[in-house]
This record gives sequence, structure tokens and C-alpha cells, in this order.
Amino acid sequence: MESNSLLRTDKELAELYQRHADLVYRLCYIYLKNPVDAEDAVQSVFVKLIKSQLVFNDHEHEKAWLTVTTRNYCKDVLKNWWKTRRVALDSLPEVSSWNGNESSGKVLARLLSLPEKYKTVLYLYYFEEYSVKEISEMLGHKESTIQTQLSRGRKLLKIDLGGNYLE
Amino acid sequence: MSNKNINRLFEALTPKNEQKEKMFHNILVRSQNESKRHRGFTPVKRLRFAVLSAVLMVCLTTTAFAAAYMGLDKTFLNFLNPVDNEQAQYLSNGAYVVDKQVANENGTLTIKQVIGDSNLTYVLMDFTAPEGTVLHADRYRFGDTTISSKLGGYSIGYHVLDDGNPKDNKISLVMNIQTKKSLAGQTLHFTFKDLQAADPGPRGLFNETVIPGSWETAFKLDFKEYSNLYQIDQNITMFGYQAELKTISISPISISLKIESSTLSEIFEAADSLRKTGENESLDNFPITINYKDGTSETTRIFTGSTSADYLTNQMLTIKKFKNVINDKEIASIVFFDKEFPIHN
Repeated sequence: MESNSLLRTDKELAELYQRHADLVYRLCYIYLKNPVDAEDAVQSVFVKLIKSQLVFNDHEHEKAWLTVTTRNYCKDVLKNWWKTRRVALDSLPEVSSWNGNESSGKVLARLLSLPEKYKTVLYLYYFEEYSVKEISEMLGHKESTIQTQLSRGRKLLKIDLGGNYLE
Repeated sequence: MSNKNINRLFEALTPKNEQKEKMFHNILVRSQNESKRHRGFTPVKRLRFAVLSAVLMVCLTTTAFAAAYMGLDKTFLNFLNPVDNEQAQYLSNGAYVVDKQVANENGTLTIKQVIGDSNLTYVLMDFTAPEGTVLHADRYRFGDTTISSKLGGYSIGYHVLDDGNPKDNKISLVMNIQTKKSLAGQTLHFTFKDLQAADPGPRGLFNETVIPGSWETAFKLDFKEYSNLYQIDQNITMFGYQAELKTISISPISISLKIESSTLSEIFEAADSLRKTGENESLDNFPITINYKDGTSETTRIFTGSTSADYLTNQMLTIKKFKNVINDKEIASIVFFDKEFPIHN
């Protein structure tokens, strides 16, 4: 892999986007809670990547860099925009199928309304299948902190959902 | 909650291929723009943009390549008349290409592109009459346009564009649809009936059907919603009556104000019916003054949008369209009924 994004071949740049666009978009959606702002944020994060002079060791390193950059970018956006942006529940995507008692849109809305630290850790652990150790390295927190956040996130989710979806 | 269920929740947030193509296109445009702006930043090679798009098409292996976002039709761009290249690019990024034709023996209607915001949607369309027909009137419209939906009220108008050849059998029209909520993302079913032309002259009335027929089609309005919503919630006095300005929604193509009052009927009575100032023109009885950051300002004197009231919910909505798009990023404040509301954008 070439070290400078500006020197990356066209094919490499497109493949890099293809590899990580889903991850970055999902993270942006988790933070910003609507598709329009998520799309804008994805674009900004990849423009940062294009401009960066960073040497990536491998695909995992790319992924970790994008995760942290996306998180930081979205937090900055939220600091500036939260006063003027409103989110409608009906802008959330539908989950394809759900066996619980509540509508999938509602469940998703509740998940997204969890405090940022919990839903990010839940996402990285359950969906991206990172280990607690990997998440702690990526986010710069102790493993015990990540364990606690995972545990509290799970607990909050259960409480929020009224126990309907417990294992 | 099982891991599988958590997974399914996050999976729902995965972008569609079309979204990914659109974002990638915008990334390339933005990186190109920034490389031009910043000295010392190596310029992107000229052909890179096209090559990258082609590469991504192969990567995404989709048939629905989002050429939809590759730019605004030139006629459409002339109609919108953006303030600068940056705004042209911004508008272009949000446009959606419909590219849908519906034909009968009397003519072909081609729906080309759509852009819009929270309350206003512009649809660019061409109408081509059979060979030998000349369409050269100043104004055209469909005598009856219906939208099958649960919009709960809408207003429609048409504007004829200069397509470079006024004496052929083709016209370009922009339909404007004004609604209470944004139409972004919706698929709507339209019926267009009887193309009408206005009598010549400034007093021209639409009383002649020049091309009879009905054209039915359904298309998606998948444009990017441009508006920024500002929550105001402040009391105002309109013609001596108490009201509350709830929100102001601002985009390059319109400004919409939502107002609540228990005396809406009195307010509308005081505003009176729209006063004629000239041919095909009325005064805006709910004008706004836009103060720009550079110290200039403009007031909506002529009525260009729509105003509607719901006496059951005590809500009114007034939408201001503009002849040219506005520089929404440069707005400092909006004045409505002598009260100034700062806009922090």
C-alpha cells in the first residue's frame, strides 16, 4: 500500500472507499441520527483521508483510523449543530424484521438515543466484532472502562426496551 | 436482546449503493475544490475524477449508477440562477435525475430533474408535441395536475423556460410544488391533464387547451433536502392580533415561516384578499425582509409563493419563492412584522 493518499492509485482510492464507506456511514448515523447529516459527515471524513499523509500498515489500521476520525468529526459537528437540527423519528430506516413487540423504528430510535459512549462501544463490539482490548486501544480508554461501558450500554438498552427483548 | 438483534439494528443503518455512489461523487468534487483552494496541495489530475467514478462503478457492481447527482441540467441551472459556482455545485449535488418519459398520441412528457427543500419542490420537465405542432406561447400549464398522496394540501404552478428554440414543438417547464412537509424521498403518482396556453399579451388568461390528453406517471423525488430549520417560538403581532412565530426554514430556493394564532381568520381578513398591483402579480401581504451579513437587505414585495391556514389547528404556513436562488449562507436576520430574528448559520 502506498503511503501518501495523494499518490494512491485511482483504483486504490475507490477500493478504500468501498471497503470502509459502510462503517463510516453507520458510525455517522449513530452519532447524527439522520441520513442527510450522515452523508455530509461521510464525505468530510473521506476528504480528510484523501488529504492525510498517513501511512497505513494494513486494512485494519485504515479502519481504526477512520473509526476514530469519524467519531471525533461527528462530536465536533454535534457541538456546532445541535441547536438548529432536529431529528424526526420517521427519518430512521426500518429494520428488515423484528420479533419484538415494539416497531423496529422505535427500537432503533431508542438505541440511537443512548449516550454516545455506550452506543459506539456497542456498535464496535457487536457489529464490527472488535475485542474489548482493540476498542480500548482505538478509543484510548482502559479495557475496564470499555467493559463497564459495554455492560452499562447493554443494561440501559434492556431498561429502555422495558425488558421486551431480553435474551 | 440477542447479538443477532443488535446486529440487525445496526445493519439497518447501512447505506444503499446509490447513496454510496452519490457520496463518493461528492467526495471527489470536494477534494477537487479544496485542492484548487489550498496552495501547496497537489492538484488532482484532470482525468482522475472520471476514472475514479468509473472505477467505483465497477467496485459497487450496481446498475443504478447515480448519474442522478452528476449535475444540473443547463436549462434548470439558468432558471435557478445560483449566486456563484460554489452554490451551483451545492445545488447540483442535491439534484435528482428522474429521466422518465410518458407518451400518448398527443405528445411526450419527459420528467428530467428534481430539486427541493422543506416546503418547495421544483420538477424540470419537457413536453414534446407531435411533429408540425408549434408551441410558442409565453406561458403554459397543465389544466389539471393531481398528485395521489396523503400530502394534505399542496399548491402547484408552472414556469416556461427558454429552451433556445421558441418555434418548435417542444417546451421546457418547471413545475413548483409547495407543501407543508418536504417531499424528499417520496415516490408520488402524478396525473397531468390538458396542456393549456395563456392568451397572448400581459392580461393573458389560461382558457385554451392546446394539447388535450392525460399523462400519468409515478416517480421518486429523491433530492437532498436543502433547508435549515430555525426554532423561533416568539410572540409577534400581526395586523394587531397576537401570534407566535414557531419556525423559519431557509434554503437557497425558499424561506418558509410557520405561525400559530387563535385569531388566524381575523389576521387573514385584515390581510385582505391579495391586492393586484399589475398583470399576473399580487402584493405579498405577509412580507419578510432578509438582512444579509454584508449589510444589504431585500423585502418580498411581490407575492411569489403560497400562504395557507388551518383554522382547526390554528397554524399558518407562508412560503416565499424567489426569482433567483438566495445566498442562504449569508443571511444575518429575517424581519417579520417588525420583529427581527437573528439567523445563526
